[in-house]
Amino acid sequence: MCGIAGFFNSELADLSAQRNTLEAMLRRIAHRGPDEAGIFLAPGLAMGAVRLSIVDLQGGSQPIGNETGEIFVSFNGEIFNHPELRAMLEGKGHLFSTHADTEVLIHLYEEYGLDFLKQLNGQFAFALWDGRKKNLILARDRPGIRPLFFTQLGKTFVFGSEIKSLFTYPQVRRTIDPAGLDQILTFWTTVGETTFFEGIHELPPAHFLIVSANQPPRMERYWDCDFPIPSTPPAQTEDIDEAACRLKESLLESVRLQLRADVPVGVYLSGGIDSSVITSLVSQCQPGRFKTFSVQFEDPQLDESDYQQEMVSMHKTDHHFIRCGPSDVGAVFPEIVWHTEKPVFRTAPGPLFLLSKLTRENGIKVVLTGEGADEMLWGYDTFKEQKIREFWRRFPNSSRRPLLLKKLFPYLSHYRDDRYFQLLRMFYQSDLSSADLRAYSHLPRWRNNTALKSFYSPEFRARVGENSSRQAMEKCLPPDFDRWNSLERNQYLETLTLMPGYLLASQGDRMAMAHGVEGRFPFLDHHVISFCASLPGNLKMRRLCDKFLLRQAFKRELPPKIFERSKRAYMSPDAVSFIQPSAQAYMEEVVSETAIRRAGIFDWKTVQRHLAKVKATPAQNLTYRDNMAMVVLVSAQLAHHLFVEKFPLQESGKLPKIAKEICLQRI
Amino acid sequence: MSIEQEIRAYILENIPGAQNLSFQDEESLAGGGIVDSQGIIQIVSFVEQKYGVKFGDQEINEENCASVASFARFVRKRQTP
Repeated sequence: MCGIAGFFNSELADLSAQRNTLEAMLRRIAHRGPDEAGIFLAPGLAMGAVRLSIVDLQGGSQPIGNETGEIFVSFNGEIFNHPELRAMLEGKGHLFSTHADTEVLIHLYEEYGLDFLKQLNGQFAFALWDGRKKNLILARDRPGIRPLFFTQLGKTFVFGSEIKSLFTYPQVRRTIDPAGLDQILTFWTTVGETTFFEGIHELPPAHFLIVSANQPPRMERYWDCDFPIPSTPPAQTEDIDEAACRLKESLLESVRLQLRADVPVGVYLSGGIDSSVITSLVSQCQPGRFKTFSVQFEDPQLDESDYQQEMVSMHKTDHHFIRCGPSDVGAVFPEIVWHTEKPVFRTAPGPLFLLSKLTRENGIKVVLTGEGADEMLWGYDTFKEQKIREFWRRFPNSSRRPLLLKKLFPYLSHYRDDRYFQLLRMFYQSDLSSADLRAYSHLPRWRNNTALKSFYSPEFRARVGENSSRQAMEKCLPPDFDRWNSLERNQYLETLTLMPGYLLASQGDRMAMAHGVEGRFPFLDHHVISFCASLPGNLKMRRLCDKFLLRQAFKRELPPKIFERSKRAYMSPDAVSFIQPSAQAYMEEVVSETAIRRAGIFDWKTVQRHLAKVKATPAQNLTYRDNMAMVVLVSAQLAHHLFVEKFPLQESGKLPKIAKEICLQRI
Repeated sequence: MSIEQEIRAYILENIPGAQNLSFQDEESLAGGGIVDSQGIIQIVSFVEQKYGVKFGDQEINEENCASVASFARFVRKRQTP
């Protein structure tokens, strides 16, 4: 696991200037790879990596090349099936010089060309130089676990694991893309290639990009999550046990592969079913005690430590935790935005930033975590909500099923209160007549988010122009999208938007890698993804029981308290974090009238009114939307401050020692 | 100020972003994305306190809470002796 960066322009010739630029780009992302650095230079091409050494600690230094010195790779991530691929390639006569998974990429590419991506089981982002074809190939893993960004500056192609690395390349422009922010205020993230910054592109998950001197870059998708057409018919009761057994086998295999490392592996334990399942599987796969890490909250409404403790006691793990309150979240929020590189709508990344610090301090640089189960096995409330809304749509006068709505968000008090039942009915009915069935599942959320756009300044609104976010999203949908059933479409929309753009990025890779910790995601092994996609819907959501099959498969292995608990979204203290003394200094600097006017995104009067409301209202009386608006405001202003106004062009982190360097006089 | 104007003023002051949206008194607050469900609850509390009326358990509904105008009608109905 590492960070990579580089650039390509066949007209460049000054190797020493190239080296200086590359080293500056790598220094900027040194947090991703504190163990060592490696660089590759040739006239017109520079690429390198800062490395977090996990596999073949001594011999795995990058860059790694092939036997003839024509193919080189800078690699961020893990190829979990590297021993199997290596054995297969050795059988075909390939000679390996290291034991690192990185080298497998080289020989696999030699053997299969671009088709090699389909054989990789892993989480990765890499740049591979093919000197025979004079091509630079960039690729990213299937779900989008590891990040990769690029930009074109005249004839120079620049890439890196994080946007801040690209901004370190001379003359790359740092301006906010109104279309990017508009997408974030619709979907909670940008989609496709768009980022929060103009001209900076993201390589979307499951895509590769070929860059050459003479042709425009070519981007292609090499994998997608497919659902059967027609949908798998509902399972019968007698099929449940077998399916549960297969799910368990599939997850066990994924965990077994993901435990491969030459360093100890820990587990993030949230207290929910998913991370508890992972903890249980890890204890089955490896003998001995392992470390678990958790976030606890001062606020009992948010805290899940009781559940965490159940698992710790059951498996006798070496448990470590941090305890978080609004003041802690407020204090670290500028650092959070420095790492997310885009506005966020919740402060939930904050505690995970602190958790990765604790993890690293305890000598652990790899953790397994439970993300992905809610998408693949339909755990989110939106899946339940969608079933209820569809029922209502078909039977508008039924009074029976809507009562279940009350159980939908048990952590929101007004959902439990009988007094408000008719009100919820009114909300859920307001779009029942919508003809927009394509994205039916996501309409309430998108509509609610859109209210935040009324914070735009008139000038910024004019720059956003006609809202094109929805079209940008539609362009990313596969041809078969409309042939899937509505819950499958719901899942696809989640895996297109929130999962890669927020969960795996702002809350995932970026928070863990901020302290040099690699997250691994057994639920996102592509065999697990495909297996789950092939399942009939009634095994994922049975009546209104979410992740039904996962519960069936692990009911004997989880404490009843965890098995029976209702789902709760992971949240951390939101707006209240920004009125703490720990946040005061930066709040005065970046959310002042002058700062708001300078950034030009938001309307000062609207912001001022909202700040006053947040200060005057007890935290428990702030609405969901009040909180979201505050977090978006502060994070967008911080992103503008940190990246557009005050980007530290000169100073940056320290480059770890260069363990390997390859310099060619020609390519 | 009319009841409609007072309720509208409350919304503009208290619902994030509502001040920049233009909406008619009869327009659906929920359907137009002007307020979320917690926002309606805030308006209900405001109306109860300001006008000394009480919404019964089945009365926080489409008829009484859909729009600025429906809130105002509810208040007038209750205030009429």
